[in-house]
Amino acid sequence: MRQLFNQLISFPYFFKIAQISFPYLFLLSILVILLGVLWGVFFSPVDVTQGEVYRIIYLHVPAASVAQSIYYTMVIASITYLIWRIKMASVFMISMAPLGAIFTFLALFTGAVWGQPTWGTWWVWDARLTSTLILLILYLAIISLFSSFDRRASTDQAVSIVVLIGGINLPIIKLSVEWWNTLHQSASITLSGSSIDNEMLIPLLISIFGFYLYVTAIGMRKMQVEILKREISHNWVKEIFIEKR
Amino acid sequence: MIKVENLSYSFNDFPLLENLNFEVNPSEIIHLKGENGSGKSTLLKILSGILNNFQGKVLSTTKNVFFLGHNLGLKDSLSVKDNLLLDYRFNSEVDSLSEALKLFELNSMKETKLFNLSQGQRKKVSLVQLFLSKYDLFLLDEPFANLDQKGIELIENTIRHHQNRGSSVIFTSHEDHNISSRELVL
Amino acid sequence: MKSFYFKTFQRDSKVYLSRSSSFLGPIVFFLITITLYPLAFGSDEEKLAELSAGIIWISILLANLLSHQFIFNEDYKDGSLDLVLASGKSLFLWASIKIFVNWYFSSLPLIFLSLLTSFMLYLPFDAALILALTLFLGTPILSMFGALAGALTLERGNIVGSSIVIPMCLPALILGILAIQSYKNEELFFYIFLLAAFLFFSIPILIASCLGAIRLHFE
Repeated sequence: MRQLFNQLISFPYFFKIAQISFPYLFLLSILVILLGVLWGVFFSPVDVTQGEVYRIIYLHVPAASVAQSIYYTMVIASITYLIWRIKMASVFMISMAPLGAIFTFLALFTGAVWGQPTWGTWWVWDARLTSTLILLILYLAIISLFSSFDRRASTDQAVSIVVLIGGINLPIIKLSVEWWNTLHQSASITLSGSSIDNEMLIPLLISIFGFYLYVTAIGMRKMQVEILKREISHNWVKEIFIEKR
Repeated sequence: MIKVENLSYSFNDFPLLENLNFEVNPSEIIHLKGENGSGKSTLLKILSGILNNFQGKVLSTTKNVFFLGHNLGLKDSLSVKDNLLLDYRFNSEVDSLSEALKLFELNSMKETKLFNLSQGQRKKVSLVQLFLSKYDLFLLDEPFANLDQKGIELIENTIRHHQNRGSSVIFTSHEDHNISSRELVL
Repeated sequence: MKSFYFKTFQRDSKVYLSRSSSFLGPIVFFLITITLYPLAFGSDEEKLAELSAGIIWISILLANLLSHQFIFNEDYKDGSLDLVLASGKSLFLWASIKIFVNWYFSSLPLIFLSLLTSFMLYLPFDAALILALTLFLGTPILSMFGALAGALTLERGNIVGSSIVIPMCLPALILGILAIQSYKNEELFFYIFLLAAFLFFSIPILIASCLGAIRLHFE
């Protein structure tokens, strides 16, 4: 177990694994997403209250879920980096943050597209939307930190500090936004709605699974690129590319 | 007093110091030489504890270390006197201050704010600190820069004065100085 | 011979007081921001009364973050930070003192000023007192976040630092405003308690983060 972990955090080993598994993982994720979304769009029943529009949840919910999960995994990576100085953890954070931002934006965008016909507005300052917006800002802020330092180690550490504090803060922000919301707004709009039907749930779960696979695949690819950037002068990188030729 | 074993330090994977080994004995004055960018300042920062992610060992018998860096650590908006008395390194008697200021010809500027002073005068202020403070080890980065001949002699005397009290001194300089007991080239 | 920490206190206080810019800067910034709101929203008494707590909190938040941005910056540039690190003393206490001095000279005047401006924005007097209390608890949090922003961007000192910490300050802002808005209810104590708890837990976490951020410029 320990050995496996040590191997996974070594750059050359990870690079090789990612190189081999990326095409399969990527293809599989596309297939699973297609399965989930197509099933959801063409074969699941129409929502009684919302009509056909609701079908965007097959994109919206997975995106929102992925957007949050990425942040939590980044928090774990930041702790790992701050305590054990494992470089792979910082590679992970730096590779995943842009993905997190993209998926958070996607969640907000699909939410707006969903909200317009359903509730007649693109945007409400509802607790969940507000904290998702803050999550997006947090991701962008972290990304803006990438180029602020001359030293790579400094960037890594700064990013971990900010990710960690943001991680501690995120639940607090969510809670306070909820309190703020209950005080400011009489609950006219609720996003949760009625409990979800099984026939909708299964394609949704498939779609969520597909999104996670996709993020894993793309994340691995991005990590490979980041590793190459850092290790460009190392022998193992040269060996790989000379072998290729 | 201080012993360095296999000291290495790198900046962005670029090795700046590699496998340094040397020893500093009490009452020794060491002239640290090397080209620009050879890591002289970095070595002094490591010895003083400012930088600490180096490889190798730095064994020291004293924690009583005086550091004079490239940036002098003076505050523009404070007077000369405040700059000296409120300096973290100041560990002498307040009474000895005016004596030292006279010696360095700064007595008339005691209450002057530092931003009115020239570069050379600022350097002198920080050298008053060097003169007054009592430490076991002095790490001086370019103490002779920006000084006239008279100032240079003052510093050489100050360094000797500390040596006689049993302190060791490591300084960097591009010129030759006959006060050093040993030269160390990076 | 004065102790290291006493010197830090005296040095920073003297530096602060010797410069009108560092002392008056946040005050001017705060006053002008406050003035912007009626100019933008109109002088309607009721509307302003409703917005006043938020206006004051936002203005203080921005003024506070700005005034704490460069708290470690100067020490970094002029070499004082080198001497602090070389001294081998506890940096935690050192950073706390620095932040406290800055808070004392830049945030405390703003709290008093906010009481004054609350009348100009038609906030009821009882609510204004609660406003002052929430600011008293909230501004140290903002100060520490501002210091963290500065510590992260020591070399460059750019907008990145503050844009990172503003989202982190949101709980303080929200709790403060919630407390003011419920100044007639018992919920007030709940929000005040939460704000105090947020402050309490922020101190060790944020100051440690500041030190971590400073350290990364010395690696």
